Amino acid sequence: MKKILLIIAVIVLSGCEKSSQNLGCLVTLNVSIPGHEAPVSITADQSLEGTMFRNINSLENYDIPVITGGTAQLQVLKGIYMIAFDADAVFADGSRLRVRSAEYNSPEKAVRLTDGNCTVTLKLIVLQ
Amino acid sequence: MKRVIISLLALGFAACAYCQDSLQLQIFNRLQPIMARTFTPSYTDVALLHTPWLQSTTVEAKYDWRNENQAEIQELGNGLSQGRFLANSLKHLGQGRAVEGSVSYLRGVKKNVYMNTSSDWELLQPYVIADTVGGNLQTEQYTFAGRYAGRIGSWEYGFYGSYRALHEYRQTDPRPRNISSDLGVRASAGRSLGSHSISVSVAYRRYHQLQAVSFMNPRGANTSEFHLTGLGTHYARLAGSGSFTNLRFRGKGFSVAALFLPKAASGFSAGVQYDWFKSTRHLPNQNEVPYSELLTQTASAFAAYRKVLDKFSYGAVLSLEYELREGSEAILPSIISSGVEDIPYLTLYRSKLPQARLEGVLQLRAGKAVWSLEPMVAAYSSEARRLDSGKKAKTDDVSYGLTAGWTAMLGKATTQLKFYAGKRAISLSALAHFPAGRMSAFIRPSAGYHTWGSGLHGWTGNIGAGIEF
Repeated sequence: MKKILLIIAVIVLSGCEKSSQNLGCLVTLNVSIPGHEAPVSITADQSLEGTMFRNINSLENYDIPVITGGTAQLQVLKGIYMIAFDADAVFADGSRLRVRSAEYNSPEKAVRLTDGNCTVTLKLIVLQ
Repeated sequence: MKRVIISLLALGFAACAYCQDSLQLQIFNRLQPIMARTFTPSYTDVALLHTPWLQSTTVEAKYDWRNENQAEIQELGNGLSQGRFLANSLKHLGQGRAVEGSVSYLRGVKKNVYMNTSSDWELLQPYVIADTVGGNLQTEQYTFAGRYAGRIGSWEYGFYGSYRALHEYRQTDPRPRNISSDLGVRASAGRSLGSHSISVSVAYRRYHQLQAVSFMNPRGANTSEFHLTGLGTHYARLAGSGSFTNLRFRGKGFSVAALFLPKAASGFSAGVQYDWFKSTRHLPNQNEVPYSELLTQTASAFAAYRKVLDKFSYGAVLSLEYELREGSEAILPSIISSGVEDIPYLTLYRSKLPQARLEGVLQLRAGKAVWSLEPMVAAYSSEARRLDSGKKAKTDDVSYGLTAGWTAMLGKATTQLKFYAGKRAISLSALAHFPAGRMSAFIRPSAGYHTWGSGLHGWTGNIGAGIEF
């Protein structure tokens, strides 16, 4: 009886639901280090508290992927994000540099990622 | 109308022999379960023309009490102690016109309200603010409502207006002070077709709640206020005890309905209604920026049949309802107060609640008494989901019960006893009407027990006393 009544209720009355929407943004990170060639890989130091790819409203954090050949992609919920990290950059000759991304490191500087596909260009600075 | 009166007179055949008081006769007729059971929800106002009672004014004082060992719904608290004053008056003015008015005042305490600081939680959930301390909440509410219906030839029309004002507060930290107002108007039109009436209605609703939560303890706030977004999520950026503890809800909605109604006491009735209500949450001290929207759509329908006979009467109602709630959350900009316009929203919360209910009434008149049985079976299935994280909560249940009743005229007094036993609940209620001059004085106590899990239970009770004339 319960199932029959519920099925009737759902079939008769469920015509008012919205179609699904695209909630995600596919972010392409393009990274450069001024004065240097493109590194083979850049790995963010996730152990630091200041490392973040953080939604400023929900404060949800995303892991920053390994950036290979100067570019990487990740999927996030559409929103406004703070991006900051210290990372180790490895070059083709095996040399390493400690680099920092600080362009979007506060809510006031946060980047808007509200389209289905977004590109963010990060200019890293070299740490001494 | 004549048919209705004839049917009622037939119903009250036994009473007539013993009672000369038409008021007591009307009360006795009205209390009979086949008539008291709501076979026709108030979807339109022309139904007022078809009420069998020509005139009735009731003034009542009431006390309600509830105590649960653990809150069944923690947002509403685990206890209640409230007093109410209610007055209602209905009068058929003749020449196919009828008018009804009602007022009420409520004052009480909701006990141990937890994880909810806003008022009107049922309307606004899950987009309310909440804290982990909670406490007793003082509540005070006024309502006013008026209805008028008339007839021009075979056409029928009606108007309805209502207003509700609610004030809730707490005098220990955290201290919410919530003021709600809820205004509704409705217009109805219909046509009398043979033995039935067909009518439609259009309604409009405006809702507003201003909420401020303060902390007075000089040692600082004892909790944070969380701006909930459903299933344990919240706007983490707005959590705290400072800048974002003032908010405003603005709501508006409309309803359309159609009703098919028999003019006589017996017959088939049916109706459908669709409600649309959208509420937005604002931050008053941040340039009134809106940061969440809740759209609630409800479709409901019923079909009923009632057969009123001299000795044995019966009826049944099948009710269906489907509620869909969709919550959208703003992508607030870096500087919140700058983002009043062009804020993108994401629909991130959705809940569905289909419900079905089948009720029946069987009644047998024996001498001066009416014996009745009212079986009921109901089912619901609720599913809430966060669309970003995939979090989901799902519950369903089927409940059933049977009410046995006895309604009788003892001398010139009318009495009624009802006992309900069902899945996880029992209750007992009584009513006694005593003639007092041209009026009738009444008292109606009731008590109930319910459980919703192992070791979880609650008691409810209320007592009302008043006069009718």
